[in-house]
Amino acid sequence: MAEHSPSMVTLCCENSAFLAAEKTNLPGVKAVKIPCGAQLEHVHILRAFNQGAEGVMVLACLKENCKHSFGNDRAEKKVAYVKGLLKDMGVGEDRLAYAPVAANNEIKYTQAVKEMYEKLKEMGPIEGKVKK
Amino acid sequence: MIIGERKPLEEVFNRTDSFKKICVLGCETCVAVCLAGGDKEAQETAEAIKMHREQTNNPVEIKASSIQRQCEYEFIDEVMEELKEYDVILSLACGVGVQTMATKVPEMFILPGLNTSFLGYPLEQGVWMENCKACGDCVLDRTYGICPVTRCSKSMMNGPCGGSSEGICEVSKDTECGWALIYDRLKALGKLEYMDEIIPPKNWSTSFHGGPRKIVREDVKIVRGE
Ligand code: SF4
Repeated sequence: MAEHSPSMVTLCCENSAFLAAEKTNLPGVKAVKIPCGAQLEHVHILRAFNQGAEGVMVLACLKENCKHSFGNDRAEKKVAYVKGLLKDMGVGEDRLAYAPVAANNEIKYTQAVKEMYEKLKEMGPIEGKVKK
Repeated sequence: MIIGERKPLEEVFNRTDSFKKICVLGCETCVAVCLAGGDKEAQETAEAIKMHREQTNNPVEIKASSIQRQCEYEFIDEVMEELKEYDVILSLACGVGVQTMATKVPEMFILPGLNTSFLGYPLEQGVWMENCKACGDCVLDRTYGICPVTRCSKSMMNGPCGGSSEGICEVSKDTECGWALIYDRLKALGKLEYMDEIIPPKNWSTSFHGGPRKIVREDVKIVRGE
């Protein structure tokens, strides 16, 4: 059987991770620019899944290095919340992750995204019913 | 304001699974401020339902919307016709809003998407605290701005009781003693002698044990033809 090629979305802060993402070209991965981690809403993550993503990664500035002070911390907390929703939905919390990346570190961006992409390959497509 | 919390997704899914056209309706007043049932949360809930339906191969047509207040007919009127296109309204308003909707649109299924928790205020971002039980006979004048009905676990009118220790109530280490708070407040105001005042038994007939309460104000009622 052909290997599963998941589709993955990275939601990247325009002040850090998106600048790193722009320098990369990872097949199966769509990088979406967000104005700041603080601007991320739960619904954006869910919408990415509903529009076909099998995995989502949120990437914002390094700890204590957010242009807007705490946007990265907020994004991390929102990811934790949505992980809970995904768990309740039976989708699995591992399909969502958070990572901090500096604007000039496309190597770290690539590493983090590739690592998750490999995991998604192992997981296969989203399937299954909500655990009742 | 009224503080609520979204119902667990599993409950929301179970209650809505049999409907094909769903409108998730947020309320932009109290429950939006406590980040439980506003437009943002309506969008989020709709996406979660959509995702669940796709997984369970149970297609749904779903829309998220919101109105300023679900607890007043005027605001419901604005979306009445649109709402009728759906099989069910999943209301993210408090229990008051859900019931006002059900009264206004009796031919429709209105389901609650929130648990209405209490009357309270935001202590800090992300923390909400109950501070009024709407007992109908306010005693805050006797207790200097701290409600013993709500903040004392036993709703005692004269306290503290023997279960108070270092400002904490015996029912839980996370619960402040309401009467210790009243004491501290009077101390700060330099009026500790007020603690000696005995508050007589409270009139509970205005409270919630005798069926739904109602207020009628003839001075503001609109009489037909006015
Ligand atoms: S310890 Fe304080 S809050 Fe608890 S029941 Fe006694 S008086 Fe009320």
